[in-house]
Amino acid sequence: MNVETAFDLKDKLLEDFKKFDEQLNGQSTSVFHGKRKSASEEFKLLSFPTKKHEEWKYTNIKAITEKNFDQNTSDLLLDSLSNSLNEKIDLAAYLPEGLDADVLVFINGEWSSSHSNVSHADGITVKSLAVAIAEDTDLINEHFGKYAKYNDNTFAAMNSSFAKDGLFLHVAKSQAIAKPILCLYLNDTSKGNQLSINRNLILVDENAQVQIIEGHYNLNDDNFSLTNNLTEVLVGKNAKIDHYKLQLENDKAYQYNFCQFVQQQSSTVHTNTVTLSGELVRNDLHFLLEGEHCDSFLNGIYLSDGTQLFDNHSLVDHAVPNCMSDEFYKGIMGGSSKGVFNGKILVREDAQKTNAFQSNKNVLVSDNASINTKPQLEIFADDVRCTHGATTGQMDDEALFYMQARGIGKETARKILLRSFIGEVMERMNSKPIVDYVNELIEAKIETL
Amino acid sequence: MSDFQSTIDDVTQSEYKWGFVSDFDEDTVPKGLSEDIIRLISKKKEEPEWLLEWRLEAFKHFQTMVEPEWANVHYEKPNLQEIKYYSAPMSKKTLESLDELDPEMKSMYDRLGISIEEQKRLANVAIDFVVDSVSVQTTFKEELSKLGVIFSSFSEAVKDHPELVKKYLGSVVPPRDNYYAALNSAVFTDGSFCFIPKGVRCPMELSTYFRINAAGTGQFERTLIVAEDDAYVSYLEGCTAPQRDENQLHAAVVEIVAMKNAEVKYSTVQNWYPGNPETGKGGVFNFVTKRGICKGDNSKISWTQVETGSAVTWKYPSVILLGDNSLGEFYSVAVTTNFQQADTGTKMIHIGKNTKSRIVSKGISAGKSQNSYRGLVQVKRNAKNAYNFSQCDSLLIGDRCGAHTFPYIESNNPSAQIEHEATTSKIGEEMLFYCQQRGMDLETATALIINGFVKEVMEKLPMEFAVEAKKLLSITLEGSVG
Repeated sequence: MNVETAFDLKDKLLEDFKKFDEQLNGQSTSVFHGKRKSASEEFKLLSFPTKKHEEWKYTNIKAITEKNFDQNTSDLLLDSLSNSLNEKIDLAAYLPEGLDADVLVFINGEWSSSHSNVSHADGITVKSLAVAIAEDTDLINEHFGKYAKYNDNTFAAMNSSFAKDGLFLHVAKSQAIAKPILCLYLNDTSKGNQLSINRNLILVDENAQVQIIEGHYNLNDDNFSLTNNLTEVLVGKNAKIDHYKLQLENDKAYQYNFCQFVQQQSSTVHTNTVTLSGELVRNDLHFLLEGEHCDSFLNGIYLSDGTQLFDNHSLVDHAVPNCMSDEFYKGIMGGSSKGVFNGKILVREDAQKTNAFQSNKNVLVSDNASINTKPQLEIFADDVRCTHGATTGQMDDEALFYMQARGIGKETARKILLRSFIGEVMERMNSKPIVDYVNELIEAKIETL
Repeated sequence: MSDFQSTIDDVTQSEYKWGFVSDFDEDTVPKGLSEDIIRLISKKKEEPEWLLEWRLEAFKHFQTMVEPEWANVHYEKPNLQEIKYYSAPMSKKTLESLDELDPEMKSMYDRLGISIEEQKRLANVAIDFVVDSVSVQTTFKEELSKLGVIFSSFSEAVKDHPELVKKYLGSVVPPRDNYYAALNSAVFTDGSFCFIPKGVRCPMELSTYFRINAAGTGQFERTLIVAEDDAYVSYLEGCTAPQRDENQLHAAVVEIVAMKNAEVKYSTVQNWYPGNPETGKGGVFNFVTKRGICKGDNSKISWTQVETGSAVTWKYPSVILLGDNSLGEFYSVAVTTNFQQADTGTKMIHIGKNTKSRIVSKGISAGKSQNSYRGLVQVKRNAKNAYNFSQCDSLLIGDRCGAHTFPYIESNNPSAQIEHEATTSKIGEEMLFYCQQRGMDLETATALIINGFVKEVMEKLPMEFAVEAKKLLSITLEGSVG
């Protein structure tokens, strides 16, 4: 009798890890691989979260865990060896107009040197993590895996056990990068369901400045893709980071994204998350403020339609006094899509004089769309000023009427209102080329809502 | 600001004023929880067969459940086998006048400052005292019965109006609802039953004073309030308990049913023993399930609570807004000091069209206490034009306490409008300075600011309750915060 056992993604991945482990020659005893091994041990103990898990209460990932995903190497990566066989990807489609940046391209989680274009400057190291593991071993061993905790986080443990490539960026003391760094993560699913693991390590030393843009795309929609990103960012004293994440995958794409910022004294981080497509996107954005007088700005935009589910979780951990954090997320949900927002502000004992703000506003534009939002405050210090607000609703009838009374058609008026609703977040973004690029994408998306 | 510090210390050191044990004979059953105990309780209370079956069914399901751990509170789980599930004062006969009352009990009420005579004469309040588990006194019953209002102890209602009890018992909080509701359904001993017939506006505030008295006795009350079409009732519940070192479990269930155009107002002042102020030991565990359903169109249910006591509170008075145009309200002041922990809030479930809800929650934490607001606003697919406004403010006094907010907002209808805002801060130094500059001392200024902070909720309390609530607040935060 044939009894079909249900497919289990975790078992399959553990099997994959075993193979991966065996194939490593010489590397298997390295410190770096040791870290992977212990992450794999943790991964073994965990299971993929279900809706019973408080942090995944509104996000059902059954569609992911039921599927088989392989870590295929894309043919497009072979082009460096046999240039004639493969045409290059036309990157123009993924480059924001007017953006002069150093471009790093990762296809299915592996660095493509032929597509990338990196200029070299003193005091600045930009390279693939795979290369850095060999070349910058000391820095990697010191920092890799130190900031992003994977206990009780299955996806982070999964990422840490398979981590092999991604962005490695080190900006030395008092260096300001002239050109922004643009990372393009492209999924090629032509060989089957694709699992892409991207692992980034960003170290910004004292007084340094950098602008980083990350873009996620799918090259084709032959099969499903699962992207698992983990980014660790150490922000040194007085350093400044301006960070953008553009999530633009297709409707056969699932994405898990974990970004951990650790901020030292008087540093400033702006991070902007724009989610416009992808079937299921889950973002875990964590901030640890461990030096005084830090400023953190978290901006987010999500526009969903169809059966999309965009889930934004954030945690701002105020561990020391005198820091400021400001979180501002806005979303529009259409079709039968779902939005999830969970923002948590944690103010630890003794983190006095903390200022923390959080705001989440949502508009539902169709009968079947839904939003679950949970702005959460956990406060253990008394001399603080923390506020949060959340609203959900539909468009302001009076504003619509006002415009209609002045001869603007209802549909046009509706779109103007939606655009201006999102515009409030756009205003907080600093990079002109990115703002223009995103604006265009948003306009196109609003047309479909 | 060492001055301020010392006044804060005063606040956190103020002792529970109303702790004492009244000594009178008790008719108890042995400790422990089993089917036999449930049968015994049921027999002692001379209950009909269906109720016993109902209890046993609940108990059967209870045994399959585990104690919930998701709340933001930490405590040693009570041993359910160490609790006496039934205890009743010996004087069981119904009293017509106060002279017949056990003198011991009368003095207990007097020490609490509740003068029955005065309340009867002046405040026009009918009080149904529950000392431990059995009602010993019901006043104004006759007057109410002329209007057709039924206001009696739960056991009497089971005897006199079995059809009503059978119809509504468990209809809002099913016996399988949650761990403590299931436990309550299995072993509840008494409580209040209130029925307002069609078109009747109850002329007086109905009120019950609960006291946990016998050592080691868990109290498992069951309250059921039914307001038929166009009826109105305002119901008060207040609690003070004697000082104890042993944790006492309180797992009550309150059910409210509001039919078409009916309005039910439920107010609570809770001041159970919060535990030893030095060590945090002892104190009452308050695990309560309170839920109302706006069954008919245009109905209204309003919860108002002032929570100052208990070591651990776990309580979410909720409203299911089923009828179109129905309205749910929740007003709460929760004060925690010393080692108290509170995880409290509300649930508003919007099902009908044009339903509205309003949540105002004010939390004050002092000492080493933890105060959490946990609320759910859920708008179902068909709840067109649902509207919710929530406001949760927390005030922190002292740097070793915590204030937490966990609001869950789930919207499934595009026409629903939901607004939530929350703030957490300490008493502003500018505010204090402003008051002091105008000749107030620090203590008065702090009191003034706290009074202002909670005023929005206090205003919702019935007059006679507001006085007591204010007194409670000042005793709990005694020292600077009067």
